[in-house]
Amino acid sequence: MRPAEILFLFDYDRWATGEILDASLELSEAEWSADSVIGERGIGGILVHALGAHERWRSGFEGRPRLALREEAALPSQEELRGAWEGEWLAIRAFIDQLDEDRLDSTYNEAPLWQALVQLINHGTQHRSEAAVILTAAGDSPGDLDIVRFTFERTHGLDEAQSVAE
Amino acid sequence: MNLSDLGFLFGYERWATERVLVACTGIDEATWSSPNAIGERGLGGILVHTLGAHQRWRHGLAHGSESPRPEREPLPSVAELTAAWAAELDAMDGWLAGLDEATPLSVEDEAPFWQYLAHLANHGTQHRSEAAVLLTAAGHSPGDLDMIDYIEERAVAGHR
Repeated sequence: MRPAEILFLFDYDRWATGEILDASLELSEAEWSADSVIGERGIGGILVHALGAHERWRSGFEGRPRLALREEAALPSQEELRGAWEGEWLAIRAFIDQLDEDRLDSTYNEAPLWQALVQLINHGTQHRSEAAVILTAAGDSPGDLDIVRFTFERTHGLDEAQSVAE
Repeated sequence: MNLSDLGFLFGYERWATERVLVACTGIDEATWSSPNAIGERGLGGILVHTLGAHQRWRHGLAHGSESPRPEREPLPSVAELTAAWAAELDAMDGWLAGLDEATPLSVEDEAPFWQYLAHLANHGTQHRSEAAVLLTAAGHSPGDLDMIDYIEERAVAGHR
């Protein structure tokens, strides 16, 4: 795995999460803060958890002490959560920018670092999917969040990307 | 992304998909076959679509064709779908094993080949998450499907 490929995946993660956060602006306060919609969480809780996991893994990669659980704090508003995500995107980009192939192949918790980074992307997709279920049921679908759409928006432009199936 | 990296992604795909299919065993017929649970699809429809997309992308990338449309066929049983998935996962492994190292970095329709495969793996995660929501609501949770659990199982088995 090469640094440019990891960067592509995290650019996708940022794009897809941004689509979800944009769609969530349409939700009412009750819809945003409801819990026990999927498992113990509602959409606000799901997106706070996704951010918290992102921050904790990134902090671990950087060798910093474990962060407090963001999930245990009061639920932020949609705007506050986007602001926090913006900070996290800057932080993960700064971390990725100093990676090279040797570092990506180095061991982090018994596996190559690149695998730990890819699992973080996968974790984000899992929870964005849950969030999309709730948003769609509320009439606020975030639209297509596939990687291939992100790829085609970059290579072919928005209009052609929208016609890509699956 | 090289062939070994792609092998890791699709190893996870197999591991997680098999967990979801095992959790479907014994599910009630209504949960399995009802549409409109998430968007237009129900549990069975979601997993058939995920299989169809897998088949079409593999066919498209390997042969330039995208013919399989299992979504248009009658809904299979859990056992039938599990068998179809096993055949597809084996076909994927066989196809990946036959690629040369230059293929993932080659360019297909202005994008690196590996990005289409990363899309396919990500598409599977997206729909397994939907399936897990329905399975959990029906009392058939597939358990934790995080990639980190797959990584830890591999580490215990001595893989890296």
